[in-house]
Amino acid sequence: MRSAASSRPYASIIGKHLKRFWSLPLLYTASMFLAVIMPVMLLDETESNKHYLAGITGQENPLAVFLIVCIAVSAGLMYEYLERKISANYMHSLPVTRTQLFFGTLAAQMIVSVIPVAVTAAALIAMGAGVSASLMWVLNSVVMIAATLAITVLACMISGNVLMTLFNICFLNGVVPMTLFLADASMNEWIEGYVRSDILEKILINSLPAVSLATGAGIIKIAAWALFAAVVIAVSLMIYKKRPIERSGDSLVFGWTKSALLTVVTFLGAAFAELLFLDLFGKDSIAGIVAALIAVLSIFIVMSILIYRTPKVLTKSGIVCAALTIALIAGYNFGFSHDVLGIETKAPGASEVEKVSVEAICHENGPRYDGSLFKGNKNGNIYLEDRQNVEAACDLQKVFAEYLKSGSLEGSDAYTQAGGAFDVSMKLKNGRSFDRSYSWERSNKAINDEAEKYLAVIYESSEYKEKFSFSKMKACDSMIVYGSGTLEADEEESVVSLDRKQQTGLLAAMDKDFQSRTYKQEIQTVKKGYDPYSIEMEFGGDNYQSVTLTVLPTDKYTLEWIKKNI
Amino acid sequence: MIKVSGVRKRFDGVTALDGLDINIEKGSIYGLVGTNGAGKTTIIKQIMGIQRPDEGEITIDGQPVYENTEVKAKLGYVSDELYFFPGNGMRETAKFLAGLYPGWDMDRFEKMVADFGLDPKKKITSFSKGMQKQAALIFALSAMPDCLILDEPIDGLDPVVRLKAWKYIIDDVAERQTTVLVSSHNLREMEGYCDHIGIISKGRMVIERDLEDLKSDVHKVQIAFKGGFVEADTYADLNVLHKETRGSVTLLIVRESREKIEEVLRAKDPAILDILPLSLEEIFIYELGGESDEISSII
Repeated sequence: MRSAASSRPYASIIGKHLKRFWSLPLLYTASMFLAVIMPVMLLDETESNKHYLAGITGQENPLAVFLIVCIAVSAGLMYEYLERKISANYMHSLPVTRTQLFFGTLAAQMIVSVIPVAVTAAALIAMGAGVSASLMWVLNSVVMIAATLAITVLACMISGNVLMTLFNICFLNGVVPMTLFLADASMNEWIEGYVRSDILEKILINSLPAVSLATGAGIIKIAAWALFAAVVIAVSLMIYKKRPIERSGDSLVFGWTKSALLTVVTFLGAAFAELLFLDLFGKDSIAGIVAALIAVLSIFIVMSILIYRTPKVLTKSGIVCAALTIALIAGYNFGFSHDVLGIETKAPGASEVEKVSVEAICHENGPRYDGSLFKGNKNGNIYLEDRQNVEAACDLQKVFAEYLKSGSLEGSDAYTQAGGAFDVSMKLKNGRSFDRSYSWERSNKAINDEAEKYLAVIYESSEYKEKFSFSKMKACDSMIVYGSGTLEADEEESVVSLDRKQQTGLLAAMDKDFQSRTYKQEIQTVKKGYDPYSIEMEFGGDNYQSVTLTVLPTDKYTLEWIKKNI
Repeated sequence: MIKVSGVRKRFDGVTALDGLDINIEKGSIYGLVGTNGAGKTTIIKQIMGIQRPDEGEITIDGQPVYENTEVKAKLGYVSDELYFFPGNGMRETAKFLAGLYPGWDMDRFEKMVADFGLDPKKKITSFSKGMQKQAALIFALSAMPDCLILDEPIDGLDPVVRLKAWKYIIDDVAERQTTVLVSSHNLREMEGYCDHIGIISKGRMVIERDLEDLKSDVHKVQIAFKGGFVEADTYADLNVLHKETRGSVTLLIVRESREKIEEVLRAKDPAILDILPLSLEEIFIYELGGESDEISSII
C-alpha cells in the first residue's frame, strides 16, 4: 500500500504541530473564559454588562491583552526544534524546504493562537457584545498576535537554545522602548530645557504591538501592525534560510551577533545603572560611581556567560566587547555632558517659527492658562501667531540658550514662589516642533528681568488677552467663592457656591480685570495683610479638572462683584 | 549516483571537510570509513541536505540535494543521533512521514515492525537504544528510498537483528538497485557487505576503490633473506606503506599487485616469501598510518 500523500508537506507539518501542542489553545481558551467571560456572567446589571463588554471589545481589559500576548509568545516556541542539534538535524533531513518548515510551523502557531480568540469572540457575541464590535476585537487581537508572534519568531531564528530564545524575546520586545526611555531619561538628566516631545511619547506607546493596539487602535494602526508583522516574518524567513543548522544548541546561531548583543545589552545596562545610581547617590558621588561600575560588571559577566556559555569571560571576544562597551559609555557620557548635539544652546530664529505656545508659571493663577481648559483645545496648546509674540517668545528662549552656554539654571525650583518657569512650544515653518522648558530662581535677577520683559510683551498683547479670555473658557460645572481670609473649604460660612447666572456675572467681571491687567500685576506677590478671595472652578466630563484662582488686590471689577453679590 | 565534488566545510575556524570528493555508483553499497573526527558524519549531513557546504557541490542523479524536496524524498536516512517526536509511537510517526515521502509503503512498514517485533503503539522514546535504531531503519526503508544513507546504523544492534537489517538492505539493493552509503567503525562487517570503500581522513578522501580491487592492491609481505643481509634498494621498486623487521624476517605492507610484488621480490632470491591479502581493518590502519599520528602510534 503506497502512500498517496506526496505533496502535503504543509498539512503534515501543521498537523504534527497541532497534535503536539493541542493543549495550548485549550489552556488559553480556558484562561480567556476565566479572565473575560466569567466576569460578565457574575455581573447582574445589564448596564454594567454592556459597559464591561464594551471594555473588552475596546481592548481595555489588561488581562485579556496580557493573555493574547502570552498566547502569541507560547505559540512562537513551536520552533523549539531549532534549539537542539538533534531535532534540527532530523527536521531538516526530511523532504521539506526551509520555507515549508517555516510557514508550516507559522500556520500552526497562528491556528493555535487564534482559536482562543475566536471562541472568546463567539461567547462575547452570545452575551450581547455586538457582532461588529466583536469582529473588530478579533481583527485587533489577531493582528496583535501576528505582530507579537513575528517578534517571537525572529528571536527563535537568531537564537540557538531555549534560554537565549527567551532572553531574545524579551530583548527584541524591549529594546526600542528601553532605548527611547533611556534617551528620554538621559536628556532629562543632562540637557537643561529638554521637554519630551509628543512624538517620542507616541513612539514609546507604539513601540510594542500589544500596548499600541490596546490604546486606541484604528484601522490604519491595525494595518500598520499587520504590515510590521509581514515585514518581520519576511526578515525571519530570510534569516531561517541562512541559518547554519550546525549552530543549533549554541546561544546565537550567527557568530557576529554574540559580540553585538553582549555590547548592546551591557551598554544599555550601564546607561541605566549610571542614571539610577547617580540619581540615588548624587552626580559627583564616588559611592554612586562604584555602585554603577559594580552593576555594569555584573551585567557584563552574566551576559558573557549566557552568550559564550563559559564562565571564562576574559576571552578575546569578551575583551573586545568590554573595550567597545567602555568606548560607547564614554562617548555617551561625553556626548550628553558636553551637549555635542547642541540641544541646550539651540535657539530657532523668529523667522523660522510659525507660531508659539507659551506657559509661564510665575504667579499663583498660572494653571488657568492651561490650553485644555479652553474651548476646542482638549489636549493641545493655544498658539500665538502675532509676530510680536513669536519674536518675544523666541527672544526669551534665546536668552536661556545663551545663558546655558556659559552657566546653568541648576538649583531652581519652578513650582515654588521662589522660582519662575517658562515653557515654550514652537511650531516651525518646516513642520517640525521645538519644545523647551526652563526654570530659574527668582533671585537670578539677570534672567528674571529678561523673562519679565518678554513675558510682559506676550501677556499684555491683544492676541493673548483674546485667546485666554474667560469667555473662551469651557463652561465650568461649578464655581465656588471662598471667603476673604480663608482658603479652607470646610468653613461653610465663608464658602459660596454660585448658580449659573451668578457664574456668568462673576466670569464677566473677572474677564474685565484680566483684559486690563498688566504682567506686573499678574505676578505681584499678594500684599502682606491682604486676605484674598479665591474662586474654585470645576470642569467635569471625562477629564475632571479643578482650578483655584486668587483674586488679586488690583482685580477691581471682581472684588466689586463679590462684595455686591455675596 | 551520489557525487560529492570538492566539498569544504568549516566550523568555528576548524576545517571539517577539505575538498572532499566521493563517487557512489547506483546500486552499490559504499562503506565510508575514517578515524574519529575525519568528517564522516559531516559529509553525510551535507549529502542529506541538512547542512550546506561552504564550497563544492553535492548531486544525486545529477540534481543538487540542498533544499531539493524531490531528491530528498528519495533518500532514506538513519542518523548516528536518533530523534523522535516526544510522545509519538511508531505508527503515529509513520503517518506523519507518509505525508512527506511519496514512495512511503505502509504495508512494508507494518511488515517490518512485526518482523522486528516492535510495538507500534508504544512511545519510541521509551524504546531501548537498539530498538530505536531498528525503528529508525524501519522508517528509512519504508520510505522506499533510491538512496539509503546510514550513519553507524548497526552499532548497538544484536547479531540477529543486524543480520535481519542487512538482509532488508541487501534485498533492496538487489531488487530495486538502491544505492547505499554506510558509515561505520565495524570494518569487519563493512568488509562483508560493501562493494566500494572510501577512506577519509582530516576531511579528505584517502582512498576510494572497489573493495576487491583495494584488497587485491594492498598486500602483507613476509620476507627473509639468507644470512639476514638486505640491500638498501631491495624494495625501491615497490610502494611500501609500512616496513617492520622482526629478527631476520621483514614485514612489509605494499600497495602493488600480487604479480608485481612476486616479480620484484623473487628476483632478489629470498629465503622466505609469503604474500597475503589484507583485511579491510588492516588496510584502514596501514593506509591511515601515514595520514594520522594516532594510527601511527597504534601500529
